[in-house]
Amino acid sequence: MALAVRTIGLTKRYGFLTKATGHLAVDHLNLEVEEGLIFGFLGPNGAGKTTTIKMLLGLIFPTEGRAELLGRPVGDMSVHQEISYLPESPYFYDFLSGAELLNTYAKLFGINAEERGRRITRLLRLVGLPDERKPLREYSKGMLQRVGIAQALINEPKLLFFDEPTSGLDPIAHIDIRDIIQNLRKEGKTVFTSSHQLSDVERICDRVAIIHRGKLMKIGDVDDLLAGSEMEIIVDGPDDALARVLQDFAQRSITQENRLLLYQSDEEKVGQIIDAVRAAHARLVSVIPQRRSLESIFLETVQQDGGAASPPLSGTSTDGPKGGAA
Amino acid sequence: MNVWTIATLTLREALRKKVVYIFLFVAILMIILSQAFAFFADPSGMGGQKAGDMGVANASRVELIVIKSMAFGVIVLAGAVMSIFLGTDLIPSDIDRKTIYTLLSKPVRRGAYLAGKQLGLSLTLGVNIGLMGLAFLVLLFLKTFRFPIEILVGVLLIWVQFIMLGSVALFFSVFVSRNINAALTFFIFVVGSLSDFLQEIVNSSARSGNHALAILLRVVKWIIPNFADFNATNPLIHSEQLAQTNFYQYVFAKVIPLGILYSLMLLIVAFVIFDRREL
Repeated sequence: MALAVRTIGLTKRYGFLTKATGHLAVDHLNLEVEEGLIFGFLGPNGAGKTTTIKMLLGLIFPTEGRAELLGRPVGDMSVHQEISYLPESPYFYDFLSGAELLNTYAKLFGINAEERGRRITRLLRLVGLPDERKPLREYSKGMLQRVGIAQALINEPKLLFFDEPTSGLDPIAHIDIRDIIQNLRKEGKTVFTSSHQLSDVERICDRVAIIHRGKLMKIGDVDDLLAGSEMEIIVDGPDDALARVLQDFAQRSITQENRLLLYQSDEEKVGQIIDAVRAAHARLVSVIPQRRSLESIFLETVQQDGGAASPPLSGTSTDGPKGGAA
Repeated sequence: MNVWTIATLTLREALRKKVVYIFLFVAILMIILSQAFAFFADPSGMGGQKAGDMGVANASRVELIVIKSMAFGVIVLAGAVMSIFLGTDLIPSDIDRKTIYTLLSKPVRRGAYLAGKQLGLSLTLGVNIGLMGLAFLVLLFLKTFRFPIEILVGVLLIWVQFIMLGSVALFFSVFVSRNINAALTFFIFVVGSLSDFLQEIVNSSARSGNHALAILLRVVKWIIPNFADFNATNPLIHSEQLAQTNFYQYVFAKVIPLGILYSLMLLIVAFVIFDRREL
């Protein structure tokens, strides 16, 4: 299948003095996103997601490397006819109504008046704002985001970039926008979305990449990543010494009252945990295979790189040490 | 096409700024009040005593001179404030609010964006200066019962002057902050308006043997637009001079083309800088 996005050693360094003193926002990123996929681009705050998207859109320029969109190099103006962008918390000219904004943006694509009218009516209906005539300054955040999605679809793009499309929305707007993005797949569009809403990403994305400190840490199909054979091992009342040993074997662990919940996907290490529990004559409550969540994969990936991840984790969690990736 | 779309967007956005209407209202009020100032004008140094028809005619002529001088002055002042205020905010506000991201991710070249912004600013200034000019014209009609259409040439001259000042503000806005931009643009306007004075310093520096200073000031004078050229409304104020001077030739063959050329050159330099700017 053809590639919608391809980056080859894409690098962005801020600070102009030396390689040592500069801040490496994106570090030799190699990505390939096939057409027709919804691609989740994940990472904690400051990981380089927005910087990458901005480089792909030609808003900032790479220090090294190059990128292609729909088979054409970034900077080729013809590709801008076929892509669109919804920035995080966008502001639109708030004296315009939704229809006027769409009309203005449609003009930038050279779409004729009759076609503009058709598309505007269809898109406002699609995003649930068919009869809004008031200026955008009177819109709620959810309504603005809906208009943002509509403006991103005005040129019937092949490739869409969404930066945190569901952040700060109420549950209804959140679900609606998630559904709209999901429906874009049926139309054969490619969506490249960055998001902190890992449950959304897990639900709508076909493939995800996790970056941390500008580096690509993990990339794969969501189904493959989640199908990892992680085991949950519950140990009742281990003493401090045993708990430390077990936590060393686990990828991550959670303490719940007097129980220790350990997670590990490496079979050999699971065996070592069980052996250690038996050797210490502690009580092994259960060993249950788990379907992994994207959140656990995300946390594990980021923590392996020595970083603190921004999405919250429920329960009292202890970072696992250098366990193998799923 | 994109240039025009961005220009109209810029115009509509600028025209909804309340502060622009305040400037406009105050300026038009000042133009209307200029006849009150004219009332106090002393036509011949006779302490306000006017004798016979000649005196009345003279008083009326002086009144008109005061009204015209003051109205042109008010339009220049308001135009300067508006072009600095609006010009310095054009690009930074789009960057702050991220509107520039949605625009430039569409098939809009950075050059077209800048040209659209410049055109939008010019149209905004045109609307405001035009309205002030209209108020001026109506006032003159009420005073003389004729429309002195030549006044519009003066208004056009002021408009081109502030298109040029707006292009200075736009140029700086692609690489400096708003406040520094406002200070630099104001500085350039003042120095450019004192171009004749600058020439005198150049001459006296050369005469006194300070060639380094003379060369430096020549370079400054060459770079900074000559706003003093636009202070050419005297023949319109003293209408009897109009027939004696080649005013129209000076305005249409020299000042306006040079003003537009300078604005275009500045736009090209701004584009070269903006094309590599990280957003």
